Amino acid sequence: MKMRCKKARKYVSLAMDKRLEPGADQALGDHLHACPLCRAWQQKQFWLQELVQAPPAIAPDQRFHAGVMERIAASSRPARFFVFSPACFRPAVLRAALVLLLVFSAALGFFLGGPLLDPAPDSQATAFNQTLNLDAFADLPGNSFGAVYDRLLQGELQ
Amino acid sequence: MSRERDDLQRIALAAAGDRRAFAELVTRHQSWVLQLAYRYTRDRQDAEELAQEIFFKAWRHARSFRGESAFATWLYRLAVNSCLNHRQGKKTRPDPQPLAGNLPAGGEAGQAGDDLVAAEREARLRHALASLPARQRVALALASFEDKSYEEIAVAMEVSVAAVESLLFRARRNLAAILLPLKKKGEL
Repeated sequence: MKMRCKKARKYVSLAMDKRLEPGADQALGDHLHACPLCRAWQQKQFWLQELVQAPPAIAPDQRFHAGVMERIAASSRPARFFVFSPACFRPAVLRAALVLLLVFSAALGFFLGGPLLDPAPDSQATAFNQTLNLDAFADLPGNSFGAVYDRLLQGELQ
Repeated sequence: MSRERDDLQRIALAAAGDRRAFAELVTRHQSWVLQLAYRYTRDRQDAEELAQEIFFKAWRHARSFRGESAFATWLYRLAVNSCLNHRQGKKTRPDPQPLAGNLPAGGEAGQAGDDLVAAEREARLRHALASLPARQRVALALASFEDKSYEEIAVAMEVSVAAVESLLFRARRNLAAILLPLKKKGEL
């Protein structure tokens, strides 16, 4: 049974890691012999394997170890509740703070503010009298204009 | 006392908050952790950040270590998992530009030119590897650079051996799709 190209290419990948079973190895060899495209594919994979080598070894320095321990130490410190930093002045933060202030003010007004009512009738008369200050005419002569006007206001004269 | 048993004692102390015990574990294992991170990222700065992240996670999750395996095995799995979750795009690097092409050929450029060509090729390679999906990239790094068997990779990545085969095949196919056009253009 002939091997399909897709399977052959999977086998090429396995063969590169020496994971191909002996029987499959023979089948792959037969397919590669007959299929120039898969043979080219195999050559490209060998080229890639040559190209993609492990990078050279690196060694950690003192700074690396100190960095790890500093990070651990920093995570153990208690977090401050509020940190004053330039982040406080970022537009998004300012906008959010403004919205919160508006919502808070509206809530405060809703719960603490009383309804707007008309003043009571008594207080209306008091306010009217205070405005006119009718008592100012009390010591005027009885036939003076002020006294007549006062009596007129009190409803004594028709 | 064997080193493995000493590791177990130290991680138990670290779980209780002993930073000195953990510092000793960092000293012992930092070389291979950094090397693994470097083989994955192929960039020293990225590798150091990733390796520090791995040790920080080990410190934070020290209490979850139950001693069912060696500390190094547990740390290795943690490292592989961190590679899978690592986002290299935090500082996006521009595509590598052909710098060496502007140099005069021959003696004057000399060694510096060769170094630049090698650096340029490495940058292209790093870029191509970085564009692979994380799982394919980790599988390729473990198989090709760490010489791990498929079974070891499957355990470390918590997948089946068949999945490892598939990941490696797709990684090689995708890498070929990225790098072969560059080869044709003479950029590799």
